[in-house]
Amino acid sequence: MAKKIKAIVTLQIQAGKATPAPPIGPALAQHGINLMAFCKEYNARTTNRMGEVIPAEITVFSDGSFKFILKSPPTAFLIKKAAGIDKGSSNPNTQKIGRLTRKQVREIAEIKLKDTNALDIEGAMRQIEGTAQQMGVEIVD
Amino acid sequence: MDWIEVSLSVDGEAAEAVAELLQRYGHQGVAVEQEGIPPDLWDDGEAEAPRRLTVRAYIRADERAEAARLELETALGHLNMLYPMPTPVYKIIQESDWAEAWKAHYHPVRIGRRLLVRPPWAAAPAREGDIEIVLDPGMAFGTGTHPTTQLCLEALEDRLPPGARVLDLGCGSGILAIAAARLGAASVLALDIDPIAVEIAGANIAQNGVADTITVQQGSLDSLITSSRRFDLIVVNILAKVIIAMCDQHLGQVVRPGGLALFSGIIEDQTDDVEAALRKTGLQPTARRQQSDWVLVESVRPQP
Repeated sequence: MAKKIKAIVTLQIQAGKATPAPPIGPALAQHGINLMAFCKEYNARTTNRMGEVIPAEITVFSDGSFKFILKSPPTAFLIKKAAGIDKGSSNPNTQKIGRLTRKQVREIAEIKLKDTNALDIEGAMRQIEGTAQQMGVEIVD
Repeated sequence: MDWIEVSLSVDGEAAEAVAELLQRYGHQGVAVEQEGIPPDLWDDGEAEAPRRLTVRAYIRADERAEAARLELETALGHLNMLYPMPTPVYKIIQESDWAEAWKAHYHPVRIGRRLLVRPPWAAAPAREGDIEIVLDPGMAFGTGTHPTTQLCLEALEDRLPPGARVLDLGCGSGILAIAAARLGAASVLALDIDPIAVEIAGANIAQNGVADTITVQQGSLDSLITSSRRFDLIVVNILAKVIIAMCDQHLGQVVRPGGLALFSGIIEDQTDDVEAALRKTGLQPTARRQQSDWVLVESVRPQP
């Protein structure tokens, strides 16, 4: 069918726990998306990865129909997991709360490469390092 | 219970850190929406990486909301020292039954002389002779609200010979196959390459009580060319460039001599190119239908 794109929305949500409450409800209902169809399908596809944040990229078409694909976990989630922290620093400029080695940065970049606009692994690593810096996570050799 | 929507418009580089920050305060995660979708963006895998994104989170508007707002703004202030941050925008969102709210986008639609397409929850006063199609909008294109679908439905109503063998190539939700069955086709083959569309079309076909007439399968033109199946009428509602590519794969052969072929999903200025491709595959364009800037091309496979 002639699928003209109206909107592209990525939801960063917990695997297997999609419900029509925020952020899913207000973010998708405004585009006329069948919320229960999305929640049911998302939960079915992610239920074996409970505990992870699995983003869903939803493409909304001009007639309100949609498709979605699952993306790799958000960079921030992978950084927190690798650095062993629960959340980023509330003052990343002065308060450093964790460390990542360059090897860990490379591992995260390999996971994220297909979902970023980076041209190569080095470009993806620079993006990961930027996000880590903004979270108060230092990069060490 | 009301909600506070917090949104920030950021570039791709800052989006991850902002999403992580909002995730700490937002209920069950965040939503990130691409800004400035161009009006002619198609689902053909050619989208560029987004330049700007809106990151949104939702906080309950209760007694803790003000403390959360202050913490968030402090954290954004710190982030701003590393990377320029916009001011967050706050909006009160009324609690709503979102599971039902999306349905307000869909209403019964009358198409052509007799066709009435409606979602399952919306009754419409039926007139004598109406042909009703009930369709649950979801993960497959074809809700009946788009001009390309409406043009096909009108053309089917006008052109479908009684007892025809019909092919719906790229069936999406199955709406055209269902219409063909309800308009008197003897048999309909509905094909789509997307397994989800096939599943949804199957459910819609069953809901409309036409499963005896329609066979829905995952497949493409390739599987038909190698078979001996030929059709009295084919309907193809995809995109101009896909139609042109199919013409290069001998699309015309699946139409029996004297049979009809309807092509939709064509923008007005692409019509000449599509018609040229149709001629090359042995189909003769006979008429055009138009709604806004969308065109449907009717064609026939001439008798030898």
